[in-house]
Amino acid sequence: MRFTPLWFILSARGYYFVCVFLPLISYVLSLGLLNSDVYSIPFRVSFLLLVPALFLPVMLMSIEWRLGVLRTLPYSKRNLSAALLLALSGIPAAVAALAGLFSAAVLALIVGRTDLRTSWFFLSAAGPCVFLFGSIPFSRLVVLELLRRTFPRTRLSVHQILLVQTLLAVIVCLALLALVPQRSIPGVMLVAGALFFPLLSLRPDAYAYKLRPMDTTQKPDGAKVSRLPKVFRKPVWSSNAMWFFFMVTAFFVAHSLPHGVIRAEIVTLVPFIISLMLAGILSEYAAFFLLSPRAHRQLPVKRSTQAFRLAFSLLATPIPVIVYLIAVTHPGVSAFLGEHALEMPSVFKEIQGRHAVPSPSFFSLPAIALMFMFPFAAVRISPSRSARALGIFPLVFYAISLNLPARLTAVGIGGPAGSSVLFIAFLLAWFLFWRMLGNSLIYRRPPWSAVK
Amino acid sequence: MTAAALEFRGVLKRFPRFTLGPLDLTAPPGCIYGLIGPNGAGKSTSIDLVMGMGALDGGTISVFGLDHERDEVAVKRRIGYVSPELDYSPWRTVGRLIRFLRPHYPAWDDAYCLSLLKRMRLDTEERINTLSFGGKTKLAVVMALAHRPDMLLLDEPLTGLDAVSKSDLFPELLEAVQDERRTVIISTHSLSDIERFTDHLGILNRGWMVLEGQTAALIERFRMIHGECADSPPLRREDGLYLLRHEGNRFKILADTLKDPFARLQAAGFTGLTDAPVTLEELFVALVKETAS
Repeated sequence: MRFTPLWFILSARGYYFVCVFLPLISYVLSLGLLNSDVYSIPFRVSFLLLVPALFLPVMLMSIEWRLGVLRTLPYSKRNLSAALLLALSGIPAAVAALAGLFSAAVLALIVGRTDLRTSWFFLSAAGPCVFLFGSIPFSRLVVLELLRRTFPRTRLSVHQILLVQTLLAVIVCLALLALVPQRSIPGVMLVAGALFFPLLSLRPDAYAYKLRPMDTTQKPDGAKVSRLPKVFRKPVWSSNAMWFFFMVTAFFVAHSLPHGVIRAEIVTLVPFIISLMLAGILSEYAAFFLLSPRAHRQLPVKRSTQAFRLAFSLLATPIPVIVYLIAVTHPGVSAFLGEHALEMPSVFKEIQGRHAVPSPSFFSLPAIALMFMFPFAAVRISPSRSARALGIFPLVFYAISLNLPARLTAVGIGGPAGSSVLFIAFLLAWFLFWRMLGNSLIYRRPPWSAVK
Repeated sequence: MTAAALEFRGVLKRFPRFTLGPLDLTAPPGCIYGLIGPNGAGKSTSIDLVMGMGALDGGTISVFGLDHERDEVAVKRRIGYVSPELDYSPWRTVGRLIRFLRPHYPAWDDAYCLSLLKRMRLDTEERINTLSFGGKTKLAVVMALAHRPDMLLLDEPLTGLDAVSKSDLFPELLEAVQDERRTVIISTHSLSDIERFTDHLGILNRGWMVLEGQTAALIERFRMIHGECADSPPLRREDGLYLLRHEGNRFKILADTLKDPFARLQAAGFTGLTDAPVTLEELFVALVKETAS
């Protein structure tokens, strides 16, 4: 079969595109609809549920690269303890989420971007959020055990599991919508977390260990080999994409609620996203360290180094969300969109009308810092060059939305000298990125090249 | 004194239902070491441990005098590793895999790699997940050889291969092992293959090293003894005597000639003793059965 770009996008490595950009585009398009008074609340709720539902089949097509991990585990790990190891990998994520949430609340207060009340609410959400994020791997085990006991003789497919979990999620979500008193971001986060908590829990690789028996084949020498059941070797949810999905949806839910959006809370959301990244990185690190595949572990690179590089690459994952935040709150972007006949979602017009424009440095600094980390992303995505090429989209999106050259000259950070430094840094980041596309500077760089 | 190519000293690895070791193993430089044993004996686990797949619960592993944990990178650069569990399919094509692996090894030989690919009838544009089982094994062998390692670790390289694939692979393996400086550690079930080209053997069973030494010397050392005895005298492994079969008053015994088996058997009342050489397969089956019982 010819390797066409379309095939590629629909294949495993396409998740970056599928799971990140489509929800974002959909989100932008749907904001106008949701904020219109024409539609009733049931319609809005239905739409709210419909949008993620539309993405489910597409998401199913995303195959996590790390699935290979489970097929190539050393003998010593190919048992139920692998599921336990997956579960343990959630602990650093929980710790990081706690630290991140705390700093997010305090930081926003310190820089004067929020008031004490909002900060307090955000902090009060830390407990449940930490529980949600930290307990994801554990909950996987719980959910799968529940399913296994409920359907002891049934061989459930991924799609059936998904259906059960979605139904559970909807029930939990509706219950929380009724219970959450504050329709603020912390509350919404909680609701969204509850909605996607069971979806995040869907890890067929974990299910494969318990819910279905392993496929056993016999080698010519008589040895029996157990492999994952076929259904689990195909579509797998990408946990990273699910992080994204969660964040976008949380944002989506926040904007669709009747009370509108408080800009200060959006500001608070930025460090929150960063904290999620940190959580994801640590989780990724732990998971890779515990379950790195044989093909990687044979390489003459320390496993901790590999795990660090792969985990660090996750930093790039939320770039589009951060970019989006920058884009929707910056008047330059609004003007840019207006010039090109692209209407800004009404909700953001409202925000900009009601509040002062935030300092660009507040948004741009973390984004620029992230940009420097971007080359790591390509490593994470895939060892294949064309897959890594997909990573260019967030960067392009970033550059456009940041409107960097105009910003550097018009606003600047630290005057003309600072602007120059930033501009050079930007070019350098691009160079590093392209260089890596050709030669995988980060991951493949041989340690001896410096002395050769 | 030259360091052993591979040395296990008191290596211990515990699993819930299996314990490997304490295991001692010595493979001199340049040898072809066959690690044999029944399923679940610990062959693959031993090789996995060398490659850092699993932490030791005790003991040390050294490769060319380097500690396999402390000097992990240096050790792995000197090893070419082949395992049926090695999955290169995430790299999609052979060419991409080569481009990925090449920079990790200072001694990577592109020309050699291409010639190996040609001989194995593999193409750089070929998709890895469309290769047959034999094709994937060949690819793993090429990747293991292309950086001209000092040691080849071959975990069941011939298992599952048909005769044609074996005939493709064998010459390359033989050529690889003919390099006198290169040490080859091969684990396999195929005893006929082992007997043909190994010069050292280690027989593992249930996580224990039952026997280790030079292949020819080991085979010469053991004899199959037939004899008669009216009673059923106890035959002890410590005396180098392994009871294989007992029908009426006729006994078939595997005997370790280092422990003077004839004198011991005559003292125990055996008469009509005759002996015959053993094949590797007979030796292996006898030792494994005896240690299992």
